[in-house]
Amino acid sequence: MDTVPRSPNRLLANLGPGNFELLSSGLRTVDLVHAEEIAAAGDDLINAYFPHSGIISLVTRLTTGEATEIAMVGRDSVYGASAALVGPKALTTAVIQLAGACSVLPMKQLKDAAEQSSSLRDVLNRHEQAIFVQSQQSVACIASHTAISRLSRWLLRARDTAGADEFHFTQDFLAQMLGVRRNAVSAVASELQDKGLIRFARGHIIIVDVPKLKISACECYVTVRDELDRLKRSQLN
Amino acid sequence: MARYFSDYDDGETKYVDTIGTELASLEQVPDEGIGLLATMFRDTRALKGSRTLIASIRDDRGRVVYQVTLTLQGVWTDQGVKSHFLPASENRLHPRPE
Repeated sequence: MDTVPRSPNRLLANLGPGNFELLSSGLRTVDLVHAEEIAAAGDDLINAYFPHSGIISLVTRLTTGEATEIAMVGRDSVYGASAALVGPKALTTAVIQLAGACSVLPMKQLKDAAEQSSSLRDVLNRHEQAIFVQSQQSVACIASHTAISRLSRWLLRARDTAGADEFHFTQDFLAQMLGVRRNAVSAVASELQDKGLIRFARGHIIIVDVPKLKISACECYVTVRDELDRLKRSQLN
Repeated sequence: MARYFSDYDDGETKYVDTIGTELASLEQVPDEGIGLLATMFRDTRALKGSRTLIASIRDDRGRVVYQVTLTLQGVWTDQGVKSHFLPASENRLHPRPE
């Protein structure tokens, strides 16, 4: 059994040897640069992205410029699986929310590999399901939950995805991710800071009290976390 | 383009904006205040008596150029008091069973 981690990306690291061999020759490492757009909705995706660190946000952008995050992809998943499974178009806009590193793989190679291996197709389908789980929860969350509980939830999810307690986000960026105004993000972040849950200064957020932040977060944090855990467990092959 | 700062105060939560937002024109200032108030209003849950939510927009010289206020006044009606707070024996709407 291969016990040496083959990639800092957990999806790649957990692939069976046969599936990994189908992909390994095309993998190359690139930097993820904060705020860079990987693809706009409707673009043909040339590569699939397997983050080692950092976060890729999938956002829905309106013609008036407002954008709202519907899902995050981090070191345990892949961005671009749907293009390999069903077609080349990006379903949503993908923006690098948190800088890091990433393995990229030519989409054609991922598509060919998925056509050859049903178990790889199954893995990619589960990761697309994970994105669907996040996006459907986001709809309900934005419609029903308070800004402060959504910010708490979002910070916890970012913490899980990136494996870090400190982030560099501008408040404009955070506002876009949460679908609220910049000044409202500042006001609710200030409330979390007054309660001792986070510290924030220009573009720098530190989570200081995870248990209390979990209490402050809406139910969506646990719902998404548990569902993603279930999908990941069933992915191990 | 000018920078404007949004402050908020509802008696419990107080926020002073130190970052500000670039706005293309003065006409966008009310949207800043109302948008902030709308988000904070949506976060308001337990209301005991009344609460006044105030969003103030300052220019880059510190002058408040726009202020929007929302007063929430919650009261129980007589009907509400009868049905929810009085003991069943005194409550004609929900008489005690024989």
